[in-house]
Amino acid sequence: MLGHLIYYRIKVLLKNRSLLFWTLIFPLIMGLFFKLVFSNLDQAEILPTKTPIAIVGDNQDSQNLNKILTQLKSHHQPWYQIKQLSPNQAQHRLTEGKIAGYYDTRTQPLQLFVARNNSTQSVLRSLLSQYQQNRALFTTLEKSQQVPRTQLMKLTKSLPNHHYTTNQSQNRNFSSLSFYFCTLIAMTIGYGFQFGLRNAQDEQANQSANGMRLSLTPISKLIIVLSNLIAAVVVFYTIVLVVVAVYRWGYQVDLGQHWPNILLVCFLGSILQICLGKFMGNILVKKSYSQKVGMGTLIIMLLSMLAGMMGTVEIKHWIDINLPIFGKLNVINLISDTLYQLFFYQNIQPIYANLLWLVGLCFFFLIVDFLLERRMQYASL
Amino acid sequence: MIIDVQNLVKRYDKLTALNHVDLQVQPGEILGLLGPNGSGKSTMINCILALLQYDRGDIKVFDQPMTANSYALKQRIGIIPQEIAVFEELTVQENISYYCGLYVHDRQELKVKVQQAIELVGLEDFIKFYPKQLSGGLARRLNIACGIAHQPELIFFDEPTVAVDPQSRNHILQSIKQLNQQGATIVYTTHYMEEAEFLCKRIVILDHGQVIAQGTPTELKDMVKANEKIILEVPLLTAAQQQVLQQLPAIQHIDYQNQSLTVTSKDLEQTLLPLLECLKQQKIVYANIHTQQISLNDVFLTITGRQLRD
Amino acid sequence: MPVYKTVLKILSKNIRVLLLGFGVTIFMLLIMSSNLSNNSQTLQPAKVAIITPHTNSLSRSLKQYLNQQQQVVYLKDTSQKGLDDALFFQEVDYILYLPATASAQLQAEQKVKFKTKVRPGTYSKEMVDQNINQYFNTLTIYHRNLAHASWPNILEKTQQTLQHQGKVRFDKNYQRHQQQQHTALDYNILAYGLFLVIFEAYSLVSLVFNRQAVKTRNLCSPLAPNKFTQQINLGLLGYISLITAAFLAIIISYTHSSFNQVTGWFIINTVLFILSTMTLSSWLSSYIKKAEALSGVANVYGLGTCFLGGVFIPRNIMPAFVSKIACFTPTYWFVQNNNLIGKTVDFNINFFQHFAPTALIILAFTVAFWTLQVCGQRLSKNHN
Repeated sequence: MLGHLIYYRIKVLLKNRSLLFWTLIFPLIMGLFFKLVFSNLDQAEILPTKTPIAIVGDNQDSQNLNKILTQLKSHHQPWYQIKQLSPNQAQHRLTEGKIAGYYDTRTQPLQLFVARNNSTQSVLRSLLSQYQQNRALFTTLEKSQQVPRTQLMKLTKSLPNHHYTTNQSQNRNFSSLSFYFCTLIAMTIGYGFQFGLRNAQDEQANQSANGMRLSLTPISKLIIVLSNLIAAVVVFYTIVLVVVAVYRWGYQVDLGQHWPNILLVCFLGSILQICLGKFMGNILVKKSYSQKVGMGTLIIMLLSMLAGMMGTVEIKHWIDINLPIFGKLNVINLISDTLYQLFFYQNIQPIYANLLWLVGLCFFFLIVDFLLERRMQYASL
Repeated sequence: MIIDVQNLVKRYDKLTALNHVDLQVQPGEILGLLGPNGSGKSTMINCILALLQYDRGDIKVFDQPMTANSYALKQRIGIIPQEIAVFEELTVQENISYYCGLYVHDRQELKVKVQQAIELVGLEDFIKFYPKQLSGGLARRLNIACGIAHQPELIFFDEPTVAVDPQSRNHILQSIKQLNQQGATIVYTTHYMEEAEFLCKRIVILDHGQVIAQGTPTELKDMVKANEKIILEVPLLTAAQQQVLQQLPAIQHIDYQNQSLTVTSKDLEQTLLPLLECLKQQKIVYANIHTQQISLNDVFLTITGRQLRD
Repeated sequence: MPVYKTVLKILSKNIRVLLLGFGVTIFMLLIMSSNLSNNSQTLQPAKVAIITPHTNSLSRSLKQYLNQQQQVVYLKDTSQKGLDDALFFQEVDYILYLPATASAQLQAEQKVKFKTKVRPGTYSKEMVDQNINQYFNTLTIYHRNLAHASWPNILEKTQQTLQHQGKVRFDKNYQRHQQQQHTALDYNILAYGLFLVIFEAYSLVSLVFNRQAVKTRNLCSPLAPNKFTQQINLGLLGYISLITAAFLAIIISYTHSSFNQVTGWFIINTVLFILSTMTLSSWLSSYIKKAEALSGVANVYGLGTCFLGGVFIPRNIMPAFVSKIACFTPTYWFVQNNNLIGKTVDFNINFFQHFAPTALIILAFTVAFWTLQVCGQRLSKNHN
C-alpha cells in the first residue's frame, strides 16, 4: 500500500510545473547569473598590477621614489607604470582618471595627490609613509653619531628588508563565489516548503476535495501523511542533489571536500523545509494555495537576504554575532552557514552545533505537524 | 439498515445547519436528499461520513457507529464530492487507478475494476487525457469513476450533475441507475427535482437544516392536495365567466393570467369534460389545451411557500 | 470610459503587489547604496587584529604603530571559528599572532617569523605585510646600530621614526565626483523596482483582459478593439506617470539632489528607461496566461538583467563577456548612462556625444519591443 501511495505521489509531484520551476529551474538560472557576475568578485581585493602613476619634480626624492616603486613586483609583474610628468600634466591626467595618483616631490614633506578613494590609493599612501619613515630613520641614525659613516652609507644603498611574516592561510580558498553558492543552495532548499504546502493541501479535508476523498478511504491518515512525506523528500532531495551537482560540476564552484556532510545537511534541510511548508499549510487554512505560495516565496527571499545572499554579507555576520539565536532560527541562514563552514573551516567541529539545530528543528516540526494533522474531523469544511 | 441517523444536530457558531434530523436508508434503495442551496444536504453527508464534528446525535452505518477511524466501514463506502476531487497532474486512468488502489490491493483485481469504472462512466476514449483537457461533463464523470471504481456497497453522490451538459447528465444518471441495479445503495443529493423524481425510490426534503417531508415521489405528491392542472390558451375571459367555471365539479382553483387559464383539479377525469362543455356553452374561444403533472417543485412550494431553485 | 476605469480598478485592487515594488526599492537603496562607496576624506585603511598572549612594551608599540598606519580592531571571539568568520566576512583583513617570546627573541637578534592569517594575494595583505616588515626592520636597525640604547629607548626611537606619514591631497573635484557617482548608483538601483512595478501592472491588466471569456465578450461589444487598447494604455499610462513621479520623488529626496543639470540628466535617462520598460512589459505580458508565471518572469528577468547589467555589482569586477550578454537589455544602457552622468564634471559637447548614442539605443529598444508586440498581435489574429 505504501508503495502504491508513494508511487502516485511522486508522479503528482514530478508533474507539477510550478514546484519544479521554483525548486529546480529558478535556482539554476540564479546560479548562472551568480556565476557570471560574481566569478571575479574576489579580484576586487587583489592588488592590480601595472597601475599608471606619476611623479612630479626632478630631485633626489623623485629618483629614490622612482627606484623603490619600480622594484615593487608580484609574480614578476611590476605594480606600477611610472611616468615623470609636469605638475599640470599630472593634474590633468588625474582629473581625467588616467592615473591613479601622483607624488609631488617638490615640497617637504612629499605629497600624494589622488582623485579616488580605493585600495590603490591606500597602498600609494602607505608606500609614501614608508619612504618618509626611512628618511627619518637615517636622520636619527646620523644624529646619534653612533654609526660609522661607512656603515651608514651601506645602509642607504640597501636597507635590510627582512620578511617577518608567514601567512598561515596561504592555501585556503576565501572564494566569495562559494559563499554565495552556499546561500543559493540554502535558498533552493528553502523553496522545498512548497512541497510541504502541497502535501498539506492534498491531505486535509478542509483544504481540498482530494483531501476530503482521502479522508474517506480505508487507509489510516498516518500512512497517507507518511507516504506523502517520503515521496516529497525523495523528489525534493533528488532535485537538490541535481542543483548541487550542476553548481559543482556545471558551474565549477568549489564547495569544499566534506561531501558526506554536505549531503547530510542538504538532506536534513530538505526534510525541515518540507515540514515547515506543511506547518504553514496547516495553520493558514483560510488562505488560498497560491496566496500561501506567494507569502512563502517572499519569506524565503527575505530570509535569504538575511543569510547574505544579496550582497548582504555584513548583515548576516552582524546577526550571527549579535543575535545568534535568530541566525539559527533563520533556517536559510542555518543551512547556508553550515555549508559555508564545511567549505571554509579547517576544523569542522563547529558544524556539529548547527547540525544539532537542524536535527532539533526537524524533530520539532515533525511532531508539531503530526499533532496538527492527527485530527481527522473538522469543525467546518 | 444501511444508514441510521438519529437526532443529528450540527451548529456553525450561531447558525444551526442541521436541527434534530433523523434519516434512514434501506439496503438497495436510491435515497434522494432534496433541498435548496444551503439547506444542509452536504453538511448531512459530511456528518454521516465522520468528516465533520457534530454537536449531537447518533450515526450508524452498516449498523455500526461511524467514526473517523472506522476503516472497515470506509472500505465499503464510495463518495463523489461536489467539487471535482482529482489530481491535475495524473491522467484519467492514473487518477482512477490511484483512488481505487487505496481500496483494492490485488493488482489484477485493481486493473479489472479500473477498466470497469472507465466503461461505466464512458471515458474509454479519454484515458490518457489530463483532467484539465476534459470538458465539464467529462470531468464530472471522472470524478464519479474515482469514487465508485472499488465497487462500494454504499455510494454518496453530492450534486454530481452541477454545470453538466444534458448528454453527460443523462449518462451520469444512467450510470447511477446501473450501479443501483448492481446492488449498491445510493444517497443522492441534488436541487434538481426532475433528477430526484427520475432516480429515487425515496426522497427526503431538507430545508433550513430540517426534514420537512419524506416518502416516495408519489407519496410526496399526494401531500399536495391538488393533483393535476389543465392549462388552456384563452384570449378573453370575463370575471363572470370565471365565476361560472369555478362552479364545475372537483375544481380547486382557477387562475387567469396573460391569456393563460390554469385550472387546478382534484380529479382530472371529473373535470375535463364538463370544463370543455362549459367553455362551449359560454362561447369562450380557446386553443392549445394541455395537462400538467404536479412536480416535486409544487410539493416544495406548497410546504415552504418558496420555489426549490430560489 | 468604462475600460479606462476598469484598468484603474484592477490596479487599485492589486495595490499591495505594486506597493511591494516600492518597498523593495527603498529597502535596496537603504541596504545596497550604503555598501557601495564611501566619500570620506581619508583613505581606506586595512583592519588589523593583533593576537598576543600578554601585552608588553613591544606589543603596545607595534599596536600603536599599526593603528597609525591602518586600523587596529579588537576581536571578541578569538576561537578558530571566530577568527575564520571574522576573516571571511571581512570584519578584519589581517590577523597577526605575536608570541610572548617575541621581545626576547628580537633582543637576542634571533631570526623571527610571525604567523599571520590573511586572504592570500589581497592588497591589504601586501600593505600590512609591508608595514610590519617596516616596523621590525626599523627596530632591528636601531637595535644593531645603537649599541648604547636601552630596549625601551629603542622602542621609543622606532615609534618616533615611524610616526611620519605620507601626506595625501584630494583632487578639488573629489567630493563632487564621489557624491555624483554615489547618486548614479542609487539611480541604477531604480531599474529593479521600476521593472517590477511596471511589468506587474501590465501583467495584471493583461491577465484580466486576455482571459478567453472576457476577451470574447469584449470582442462582441460595440467598442472597436483598438479603442480598447487605447483606453487600457491610457489607464496604464496614468498609473505609470504616477509611479514615475513617486519613484523620482523618492530618489531625489534620498540622494538630497537639488534641481540642477545633473539631476536633469538623471531624470531624462530614467524616463527613457521607463519608456522601454513600458513597451517591454506590454509585449511580455501579452504572452502571460497564468498568474504564477508572472512572478517567475518578473524575478528571472528583473533580477537577471539587474545582475548582468551592473546594477547590483559594479561592472568592472565582472568578466567582460557578461557585459556583452547584458548589452542586449535596456537595463545595461540605462546603467551605462547613469554611470556616465555620475563621472562627468563638465556637461559639454563631449559628454553629449557619449550620452546621445546610448539614449538612442534605449529608444531603439522601446521601438523594437513595440514592433514585436504589434507583429505578435497580427500573427495571432491571422491564426484565429
